[in-house]
Amino acid sequence: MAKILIIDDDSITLMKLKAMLEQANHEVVSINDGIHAMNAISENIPEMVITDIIMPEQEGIDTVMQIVENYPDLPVVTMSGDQLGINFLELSKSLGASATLRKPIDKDELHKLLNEFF
Amino acid sequence: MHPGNNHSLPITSSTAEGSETPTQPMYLDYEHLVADMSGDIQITEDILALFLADMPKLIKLLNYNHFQGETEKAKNLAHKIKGAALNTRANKLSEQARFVEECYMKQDARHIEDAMEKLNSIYETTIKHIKTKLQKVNYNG
Repeated sequence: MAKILIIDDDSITLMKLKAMLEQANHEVVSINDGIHAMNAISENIPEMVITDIIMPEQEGIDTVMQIVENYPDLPVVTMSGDQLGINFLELSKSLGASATLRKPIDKDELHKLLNEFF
Repeated sequence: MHPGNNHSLPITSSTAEGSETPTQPMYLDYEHLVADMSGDIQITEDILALFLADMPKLIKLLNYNHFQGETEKAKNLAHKIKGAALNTRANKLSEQARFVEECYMKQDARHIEDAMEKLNSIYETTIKHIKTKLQKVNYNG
């Protein structure tokens, strides 16, 4: 069991991902913006962060950069739906994200990814 | 790209809700959502209930910003609706929201009004499908 922080401004995605992770026996903290997420990480460092990329208050890309800079050993997984324009998933990897997930989150893909880390 | 040409979304193989053709995305792919949640009907219902609570606000905001000419806000809302609908497996709504988002990105004034009208229509039908499904699930216990 790992402690995982998930960040997404969409409450439906948060609920679904949280349930999927809890079904896999992980402990989950969910937050709906990147700014509050950085506070949460500083107070209680998780074992993994899964973050959406496109969010209104603070873009996930900024969150990734802050985590990589301040917590270089903390795995960060970015997620995004189908992309129009810039490929943010590739961009996030180039900035230090450990892995990426496509929305909608596929259960098997999620489990495979978690098995690589835990 | 027209929504009908987008194959990135799941394509239905059945007509569970009765009004779709086999090559069209479903208003609600309930079975897929249940499978996502490893067969947990309670959490599936919770997700659908959250959709019913959240989506009207998002659609209202999108229409408001569209009407006000706030294109950046409208584009971001279309993106958010696309993702929320996709995770609920409300595939038809997600696909149309994608088309609206694309119209805004391309500043496609020629198609945006029709795209918004269709989005609103699909949204209304999606809500009906979800309510009907929840009633059936609760009735069958």
